[in-house]
Amino acid sequence: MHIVEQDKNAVSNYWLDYSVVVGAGLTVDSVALDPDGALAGITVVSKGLNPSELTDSSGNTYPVGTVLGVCIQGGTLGERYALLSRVTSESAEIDDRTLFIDIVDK
Amino acid sequence: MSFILRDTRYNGGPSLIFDNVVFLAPVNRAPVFTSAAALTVSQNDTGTHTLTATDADSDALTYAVVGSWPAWATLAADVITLAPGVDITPADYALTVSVYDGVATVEQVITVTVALAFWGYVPPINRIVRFF
Repeated sequence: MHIVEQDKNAVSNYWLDYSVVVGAGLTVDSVALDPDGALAGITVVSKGLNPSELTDSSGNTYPVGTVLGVCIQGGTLGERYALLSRVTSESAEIDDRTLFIDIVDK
Repeated sequence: MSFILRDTRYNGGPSLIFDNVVFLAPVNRAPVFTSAAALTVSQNDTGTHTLTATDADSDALTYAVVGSWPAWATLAADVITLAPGVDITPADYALTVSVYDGVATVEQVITVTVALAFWGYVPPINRIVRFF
């Protein structure tokens, strides 16, 4: 279970590493935030897969199309949001992963 | 103002006298923006947008910035250049422009969405979420 804390006023980027799960050739099928619609007030500003090899601040590299970048903003203080991302591989495998975001006052 | 309309073909001919005459200036028709009011540009990228408007009187049009714009947005003649760096927060920004036809000024609010450039810079390791 992946949980991150985000300030109620923050606009934060997250990089969801799917390289271990699916490997190269990943394509995004959908990224749905709070798919049940029970919570409101938080939005996905933008999202997308890395179009070129990505290197993080520790020097780790990620192949093309294996990291899903998501920018999140908003949310109500004290709420937990579920960022559900669904990805489809080139071999038509579908995989869901959920990132839980706790909105806090940092 | 008053004036007299006289039939000069006849000496002492009939005349029409008009009182309280008001001369109307030609009616100016204000320009109308036709260019898009919503744009998207990614961080660490550059985009241009050409402003267009129509004027029913065929007047020459000039465009101008209204209010203050962020430093990464500029207007030269009729072209807006957008160049948000990676330090610009992804969000919607309102840019107001005006078009002037020599008489009337019309404003348009353009919503510029700055989208995150996930690959425009090196992600910090603490923002990498690993799924297994």
